[in-house]
Amino acid sequence: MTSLKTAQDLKDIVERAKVGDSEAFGMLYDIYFDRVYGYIYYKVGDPTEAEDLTERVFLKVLEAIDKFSWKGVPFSTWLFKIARNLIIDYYRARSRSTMIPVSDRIQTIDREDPEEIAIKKFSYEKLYAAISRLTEEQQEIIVLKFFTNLSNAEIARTLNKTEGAIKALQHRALRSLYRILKGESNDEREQE
Amino acid sequence: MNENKNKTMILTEILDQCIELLLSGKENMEGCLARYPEFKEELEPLLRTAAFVRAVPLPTPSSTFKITARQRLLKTAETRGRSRMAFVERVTSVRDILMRVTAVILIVILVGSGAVAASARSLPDSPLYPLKIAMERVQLVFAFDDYSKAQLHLKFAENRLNEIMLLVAGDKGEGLNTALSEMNDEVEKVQVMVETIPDDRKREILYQILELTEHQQQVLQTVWTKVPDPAKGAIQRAIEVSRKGHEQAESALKKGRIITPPKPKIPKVPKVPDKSISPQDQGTSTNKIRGSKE
Repeated sequence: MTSLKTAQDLKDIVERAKVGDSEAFGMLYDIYFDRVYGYIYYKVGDPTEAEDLTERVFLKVLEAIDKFSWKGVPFSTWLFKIARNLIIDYYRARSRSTMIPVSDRIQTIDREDPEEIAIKKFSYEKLYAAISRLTEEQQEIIVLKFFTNLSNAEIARTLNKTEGAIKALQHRALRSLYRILKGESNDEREQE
Repeated sequence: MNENKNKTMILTEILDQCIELLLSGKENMEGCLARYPEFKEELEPLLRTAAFVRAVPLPTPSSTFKITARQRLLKTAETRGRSRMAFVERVTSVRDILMRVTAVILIVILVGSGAVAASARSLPDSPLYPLKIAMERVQLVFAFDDYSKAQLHLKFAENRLNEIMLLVAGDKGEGLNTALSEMNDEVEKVQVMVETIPDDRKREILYQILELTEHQQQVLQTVWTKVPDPAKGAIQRAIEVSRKGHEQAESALKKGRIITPPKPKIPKVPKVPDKSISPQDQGTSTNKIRGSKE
C-alpha cells in the first residue's frame, strides 16, 4: 500500500505518472482504488458494475493524466470528476436517473467469514436502501463525504458548488437520512 | 422567520465542524454534543446518523479483481509510456532536422547578401553584432556531439575576449558589459559540457580550458587597469569566473591523474593593435591590480 506523507509526495507521484512512469501510476491506483470503488458502488449498487466502472475510471485517468494541470485543482477532485462523469454516462446508457435497488449481488463483494458477510450485507443493504431514497444531490454529498475522504473544498469543486452550499446540503441530507432510517419518511425525492 | 434562518445557518456550521472532528477521530459524538449544549436536541440525531454512515465499512471489491485490474492497467501504462517516449524521440529528431534545414537556408541568404562577412568583424556596439552571434549559434546547431560543442564554446569565449581587447583599445565603453557577460556564459557552458564528454577527449578540452582561462586572466587584469572605475566591477567578476573555471579544470585533471598536457589546439589570440596597452603593462598587470587592491 502506498502511503503519502505530504501533499508534495502526491504531487511528485502525479508528475511521474504524467511522463509515463507506470510504477507511479500503480501508486496512484493503490492510493485511490478503494475510495473510487466505494463511491461508484454506492452510486450503482452492483459490485460487478462497480468493479468494471472503477477499472474504466483508471483507464480514463491513464489516457488523460498528461493533460492534468495543477491550476488550483486537487488531483482527487479531477479523479472523482472522471468517476462522476462515467457514472452519469452509465445511467444515461441505461436510461436511469437513480440508483439501482440493492440485491443479493452484495454477497459477491469478498470472500470473508459468512457471519461477517451477513453483518456487512445488512449494513450495506440498510444504508444503501436509505441513501437511494435521497435526492441525487443528497446522495452525492453523503457518498463523497463519508466514503471518499474528500474535504468540503474538494467536494465543492467536484460538484461545482460553493463550500457553503456543500455544508447546507450535508445538513439537509443527514436530516433526510435520519428520517428515512427512523421510518418517518419513505422517499425524499418525492418531497423535492 | 429570520431568527430561524440564522439558527439553521449556525446549526449547519456546527454540524459540519462536529462531522470533521468525528471523521478525523479528534472527538466522539458525546464530546461534540458537550461543546454545543444549546444545540444538543437538533444535533444529536444528525450526528447519530453520521456516525451510523461512517460505521458501515467501505465496500471492497474482490482482492482477485483488484490485483488483476492493477496488472492490466500497469501493462497498458507501460505500453503507453514506451510509445510516448518513442514519440518524443521522433519529435525531437524531426525538430533537430528542421532546425538544421532552417539554419542552412538562413546561411545561404545571409552569405549571399554579404552581411555575414561584414558582421564577422563587428563589435558589440555594432548593429551587425547580433548577426555575428546568430552565426555562432548556427555553428552550434551543426555540432553533433558535446566535444564539438565544447570546442565551439571555447572558440566563442576567445572571440569575446578579442572583442573586449578591441573595445578597450578603441576606448569604447559601450558593449563592454555585453562581451564580458557573453564570455562568462561561454566559459560556464563549456564547464558544464565537459562533464558529459567521454574521458578520452575530456582531457583535451580540460587543457584547452586551462589555456583559455590563463590567457583570459592575463588580458582581463590588463584591461582592468585601463577602464574607468564603473566598468571595473564587471571585469573583476569575469576574472573570478575565469579563475573558477581554471581551478575546476585543474582539479578535474588532477583527479583523472592526467599529467602530460596534450598539444594545445586553440590558436593564440591574434595581436590586437593596441595603442593604450603596452607589452610592459601586460607583463606587470597582475602586480598592478594586486597593488591597487592593497
